[in-house]
Amino acid sequence: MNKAIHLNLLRAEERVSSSRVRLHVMAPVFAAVVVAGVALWWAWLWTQTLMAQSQTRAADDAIGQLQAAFKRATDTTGREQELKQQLAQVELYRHGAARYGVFLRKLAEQMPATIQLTALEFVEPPPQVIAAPAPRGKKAPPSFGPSSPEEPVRLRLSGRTPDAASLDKLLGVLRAPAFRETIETATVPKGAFRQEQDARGGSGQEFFRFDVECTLKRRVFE
Amino acid sequence: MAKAKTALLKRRTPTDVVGLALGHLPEGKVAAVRMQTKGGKRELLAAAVIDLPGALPSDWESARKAVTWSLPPPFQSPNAALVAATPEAVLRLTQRQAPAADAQAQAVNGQRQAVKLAMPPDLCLEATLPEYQVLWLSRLLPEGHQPTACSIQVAQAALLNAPLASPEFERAGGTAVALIVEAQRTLLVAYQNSRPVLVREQALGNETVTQALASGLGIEPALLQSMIEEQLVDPLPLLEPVLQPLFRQIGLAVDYVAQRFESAPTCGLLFGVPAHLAPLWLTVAERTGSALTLTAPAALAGFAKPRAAAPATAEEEAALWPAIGGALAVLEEASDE
Amino acid sequence: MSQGLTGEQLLAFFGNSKRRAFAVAVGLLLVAGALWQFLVTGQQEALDQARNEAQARQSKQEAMEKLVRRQSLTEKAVQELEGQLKALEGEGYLTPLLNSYAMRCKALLDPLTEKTGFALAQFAEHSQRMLPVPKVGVPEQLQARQLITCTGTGGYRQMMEFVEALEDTYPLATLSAMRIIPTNDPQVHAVQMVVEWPAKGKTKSELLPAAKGGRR
Repeated sequence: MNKAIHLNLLRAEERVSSSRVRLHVMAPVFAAVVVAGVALWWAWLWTQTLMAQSQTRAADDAIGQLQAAFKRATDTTGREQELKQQLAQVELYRHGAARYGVFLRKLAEQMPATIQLTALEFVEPPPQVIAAPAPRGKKAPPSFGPSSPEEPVRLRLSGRTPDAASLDKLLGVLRAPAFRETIETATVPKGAFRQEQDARGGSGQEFFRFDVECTLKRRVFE
Repeated sequence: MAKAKTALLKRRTPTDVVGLALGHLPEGKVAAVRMQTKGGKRELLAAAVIDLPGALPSDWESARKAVTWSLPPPFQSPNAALVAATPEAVLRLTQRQAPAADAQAQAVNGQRQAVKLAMPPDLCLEATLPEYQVLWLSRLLPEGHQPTACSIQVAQAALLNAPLASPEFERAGGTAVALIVEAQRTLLVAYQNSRPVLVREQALGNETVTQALASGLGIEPALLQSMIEEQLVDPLPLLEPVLQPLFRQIGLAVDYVAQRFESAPTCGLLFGVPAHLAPLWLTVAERTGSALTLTAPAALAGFAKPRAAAPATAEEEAALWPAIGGALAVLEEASDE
Repeated sequence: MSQGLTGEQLLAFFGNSKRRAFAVAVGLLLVAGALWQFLVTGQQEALDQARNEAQARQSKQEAMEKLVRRQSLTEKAVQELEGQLKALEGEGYLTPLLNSYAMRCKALLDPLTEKTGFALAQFAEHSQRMLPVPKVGVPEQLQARQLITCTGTGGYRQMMEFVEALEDTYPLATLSAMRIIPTNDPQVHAVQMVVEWPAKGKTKSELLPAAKGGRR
């Protein structure tokens, strides 16, 4: 139990703190510190900005000095790229190059004796399709080459034979493994095997005229 | 808001207080004690009369003159209880509705008034001091320096707490009659369970007694002390008629308390009487049938280690009591919580 | 001066000093907020922008320096590549002679005709056929297939040897088309062959206005 009589005439709001750390002192101090902190932060940011700008200027100067050398280097690098690309394109060509010398020699060697060739024709390749058709409503992008790297090769043989067996023999030769590397198919088109009479010398001897269509290995430029 | 503020202050209720008594000593002198509560025990750390400028203002105009104090290091506790003894100060024991426990002092018609329940259910003590004096006192101890004011009390109210420091009072269970003698007056206080239930003020103090004896003996008042100490005179016959009316009041007070509370005080305590007059006071009291025990600040059993020099004169020693009472009021409030 | 007024002034003094301190604090915090809003955030943006710019420039500078440092290596690589391209001429990469691919073709094939006895009399330039674009990118100077029609006469064996000699001497030359037509002399055939050579085609910029698709 409280024994003492404490008749305090001092009101609570009149009491002051003896501590050196007081809210109404610390509040402005804290606020001032905050202001100073913000100002310092701004100053730091400002300094950093100046430094960054100075770095930019230094880099700009260096870039300016490098321009001539860089131009030469870019040109050289561009030239290097250009040459690489040109060579790569020539290599594509090399891959698509075909060799028919050996084939022609073998053909002559294995041609049946009863067959007389009247014409041999490597048919000209079809026109190139340069770009694939663009989707409807859209422009096709620029194209600098054919849409397909492949190109068909056709060989047409025309000749005379006294009998159909010789033609069969010829077809057999063309389809033999010896030519498999070059010839894919060998066919006689419909109506391309017809009987005729030899008017030369008035002998009236009958013989057969024929056409054989061969599909050779495609040339692939890739 | 006010409640929160009060709660906040209560949380910081002091355990180390310096009591400063103003107005008891000549201008420029202040009685100061430093008291501390440690482990539930009170301790008097220092007691002295300090030279401090300024005097309690007598009107609003003089209150405007700001005076600030800086106490010597032994008295730099965090909190101070300022005890003012002025003619304007009033302490009344009244019958009225008890205020709330945490009720603050109120400003009424230019007066600052604090009320506290003294004896349940309806006996209240009411202390009043002019507003300008309270404001002047509240500015004496500047913020940010130790100490700052945590309490302003009127001297009469602070003196009511003085007996609490006495071991005899404690032994009597707080039911006692105390004579607290000041220079110009004497407070007769009856306690019931440590609570004051009767307060009477008599226009008789140490100065009155000295004056009466000196004129009766035909000597200068300044010579009285040495003459009594050297036993050159016998002042008892002169003193008896002066003090007897006062001691009769003790009998009346005891009867009142016995009637009112059905338990008569058995202990009588005397405070504030100078050492050379004390034996005379006690002899007169004995002759009138009142057994009194003198209590001096330096001899207080509860204040084991006084670390500052005791006051030099009897007036100065007497002036310590309000300072002790004021500090004790604050500390007891703290220990009670 | 009245007593009440003095008291109010005294009370106001106590109240105001603290209120003033808090007002100052609030004012300072407002100043801090304003500084943050109007200076710091703006400066932060400026710093971010400046840093990004500096970083971009430095990256550019580093890239340029790297390229410049590689200049000597690149030049060496260019020389090697040019050598490779030049070497292709020996394999049948066709270059114009007196602005004519046909003339060059004739110059290249004459030794072979002499060697094999296969007589080529006429050389005519065809339009070029395009080559697919390599994966490494489209060169500014596109390469093409230059077709030259050669007309001549000779026996089958001579023709065959000529073709073999052509393919052996110029690995890049290819027989693109051929037509053997019999003549009155069964030992002699009229031969029209189209020989294909790699050669410079059009440039990319030449093709660009036309390279909108369609058939060629």
